[in-house]
Amino acid sequence: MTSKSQSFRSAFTTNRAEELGFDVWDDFVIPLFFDELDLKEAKKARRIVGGRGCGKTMLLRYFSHHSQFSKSREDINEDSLLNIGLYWRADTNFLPMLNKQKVDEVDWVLVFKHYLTLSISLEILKSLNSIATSRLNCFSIEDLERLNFDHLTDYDASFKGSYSNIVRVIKKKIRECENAIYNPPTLKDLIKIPDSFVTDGLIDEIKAQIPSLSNTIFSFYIDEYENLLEYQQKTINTKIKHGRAPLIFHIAMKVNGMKINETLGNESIQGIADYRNIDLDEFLSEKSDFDLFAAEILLHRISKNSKHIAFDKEIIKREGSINIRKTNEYKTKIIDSAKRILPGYSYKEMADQAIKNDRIRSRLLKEIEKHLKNKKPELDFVFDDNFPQEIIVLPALLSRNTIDANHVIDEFNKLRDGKKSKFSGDGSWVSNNFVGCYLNLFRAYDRPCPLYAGFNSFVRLAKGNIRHFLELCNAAVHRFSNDSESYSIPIEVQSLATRSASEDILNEAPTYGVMGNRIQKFIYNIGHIFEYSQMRKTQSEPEVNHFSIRGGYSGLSEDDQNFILEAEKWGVVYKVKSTKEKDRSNPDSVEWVLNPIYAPFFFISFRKKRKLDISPEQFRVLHCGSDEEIKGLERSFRSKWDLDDNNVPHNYTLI
Amino acid sequence: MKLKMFKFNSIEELIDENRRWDITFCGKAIDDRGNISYNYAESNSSSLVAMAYNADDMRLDVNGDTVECYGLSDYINQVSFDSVLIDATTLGVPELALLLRVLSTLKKKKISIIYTEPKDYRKKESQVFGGRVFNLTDKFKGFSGIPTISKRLDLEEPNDVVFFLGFEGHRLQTALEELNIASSDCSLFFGVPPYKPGWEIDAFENNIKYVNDNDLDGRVYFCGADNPAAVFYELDQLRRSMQDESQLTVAPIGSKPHSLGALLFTAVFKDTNLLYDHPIKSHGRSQSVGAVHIYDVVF
Repeated sequence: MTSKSQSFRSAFTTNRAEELGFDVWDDFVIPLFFDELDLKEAKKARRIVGGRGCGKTMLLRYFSHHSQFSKSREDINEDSLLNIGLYWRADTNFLPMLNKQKVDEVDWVLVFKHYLTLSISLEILKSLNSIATSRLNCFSIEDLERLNFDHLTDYDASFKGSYSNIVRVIKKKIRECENAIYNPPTLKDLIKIPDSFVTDGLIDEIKAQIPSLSNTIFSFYIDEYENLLEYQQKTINTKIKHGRAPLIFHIAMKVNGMKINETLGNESIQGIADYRNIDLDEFLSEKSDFDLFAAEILLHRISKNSKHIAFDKEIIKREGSINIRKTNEYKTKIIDSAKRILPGYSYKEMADQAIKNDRIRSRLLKEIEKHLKNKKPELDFVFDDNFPQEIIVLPALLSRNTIDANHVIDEFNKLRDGKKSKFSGDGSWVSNNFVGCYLNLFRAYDRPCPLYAGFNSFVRLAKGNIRHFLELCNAAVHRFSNDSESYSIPIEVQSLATRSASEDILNEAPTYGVMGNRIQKFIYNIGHIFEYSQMRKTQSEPEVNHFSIRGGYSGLSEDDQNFILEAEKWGVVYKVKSTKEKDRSNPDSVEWVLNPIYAPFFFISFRKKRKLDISPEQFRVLHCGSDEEIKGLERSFRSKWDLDDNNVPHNYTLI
Repeated sequence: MKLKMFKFNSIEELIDENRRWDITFCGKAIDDRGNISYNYAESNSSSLVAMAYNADDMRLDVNGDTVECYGLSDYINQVSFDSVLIDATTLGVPELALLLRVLSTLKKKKISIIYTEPKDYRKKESQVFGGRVFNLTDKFKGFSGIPTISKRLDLEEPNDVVFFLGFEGHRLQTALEELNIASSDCSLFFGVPPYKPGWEIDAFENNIKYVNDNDLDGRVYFCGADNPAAVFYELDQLRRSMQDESQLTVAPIGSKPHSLGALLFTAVFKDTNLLYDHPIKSHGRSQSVGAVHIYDVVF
């Protein structure tokens, strides 16, 4: 393997912010919605919500002092001191232990607040070190060493002396707190530091001694808020309710991650009044230039590992360059470059390629002849290579009882004669049926399908999920061994890669929380049902990939409701308003779309086209039914859709 | 600590040894080998103590009594015994960790651990997920600390995290995803040689994606799947080579003898952190019975 292909292959191996460390300055691509975040100016809390893989952690780490005062950051100025971000991730291993063990919850609240106070204090102190070691000139290591914290002895006799001493003492206090937590009977002897220590003590003292921080607001970002215990969430909610400069609390969580809005008092926190919501999934949706953002990430990753790809890395790191990036000229240039790396076929090209394949061609001919056999009068049909898309949809149209074969062939011949035909225009026979028919052709031969290849397809499969986009890219570059000067990944390689990435992501599902195994079972079962629907010869309802449940969400049992919320939380399905206009005012008129990343595994379409209406009982079977119940459900759909025993996918896995 | 290991081809061979203990700590049998182990313990010890850790309430049920983790030492000190058998076949990682930690402080006790291998593990019937997907666990509570043993994880402090891996590869990924650990601080151990030739391939296959994705392929090590002494030795070697202030963490999510090696280590070196994800094991997760092991421990 040459160094060129090695570097190309390693461009996408790190797909999670957690793997990059706290300083993500070099790896962060400023999202195009950045200006709408206003986290640096926020005077009250923000609730940042987004599915797994949408970039929450990366974003919070970008705003934290580790990145903002990164040694790699060259364009830093004193404005950066106006807001200092502190990153804190709920420790799912440790924090649940602050519970029960014959200690009253009210006492655990005090311990948690004490622990939080110490954690925030330590993080504030660490941020001073980040500033001192950054390229900013206004506060140096010498300045840091000159700080004196003797005024804090009012809070604790050991809170005194130099910066290094106070850091050491805070760390010691954290250890003492932990030791008491490990042995709860000793908690009663733990001396707790009051909450006010952070704002009235430590921050006041810092501001008094460091003039350049006199107007600073500290933003405390809590990642994975949903993993906190309920009383811990209430404690944070209280901080949100009463948060004000110089210390503001922001929380980040997955979808459906905020189960309670109570505080420790009698109040609740309410959106708008107490916090502003930031929906990252909405910001990353297709309508918000996700394609451009994805293209920039693709080019940035590859150009970091290869000199052969020219890309302006600075423009994506400058917060002030977003308007330039949104210009059509820039957008076209970047997306075209991405498409050169990940080329794809148009539908016409896919059809052309397909009918040139001998096996597919003979299958099509056989299907068409089967339908035209014994027709009186004999129909005048010519397999015309000039109309490949129309040829591919012909078997489905001919197998429908609702359309006469004469009529279909007449319309095909009109097309050949250059006349208006139902294959295009108002009839839309091609646009409605091509994708479904094309997928069925490839399923028959169990071949990687070019529909899933190409930059545009990658973007649609990822659907705003950066991690999924990177997984797709990673799978593609790992299979690319071309050492020529071209960085264009062949369509066949991409097709294989998407299917492999789709399978890998499906195999990850058991890691999706306590319901992980059930979630995987559900994906498999619903994907399988969509796949059966896709196999229908008539393609009368092609591209089914979402579902509604009769009676809506409120008609579901508690267990079913919990399951669908969990599936939404992990981004396995996403909820959309019903497309039927008459239903839109009804809150229960929602549909759930299976994440398109699973489409290549099941050979189904990633376009949101048609839905399947299922009963609450069928939904129950899909996520927790017995093997027999699932087989029964499959049998009923197969029978409804006229599928025989031959219409069974025989081999999914690539391994 | 001294550890002597004895391997028997069948439970009958062990029965022929005519060994007896004053007391046996055991869990609930959920498969054939569990029943064999339990029956042996029942016949060869004067009394049985059933233990179960409740991960939601973070406490133990000991013979019907609710015991907080920090109270286990006092509880055991009330019981009179000179020799003790621990049934590692039916007890889970949390019970073993808590029990070994307490027993390590009691001098002059004869401690033995029994572990019975299965002949086979149950695989998923579905053809979709290939032939290496096992049906071992109904669900996971997720990584959650065990009081008195688990510690806070701090990404900014020096850490050494050692995973002992088995068939369920996603458990490694969940840990890396959800916990404050950096993959660059991790080492991985597989059970090689395995109980049965070919099982190591199942473990590699099910973990390989996560090993590659997290750039861990340079930090993969091997210990015999039935050899807790080798695990203890390897951890001790690592401990000796670590920076003074580094936190050593073990995540025993592989074979039970590997878990025993790691838990004996946490019992001796009490600063060692423990990570565990509390699987709810499926009934009938394994079939039939393989070799039986007795490990005699002197703390």
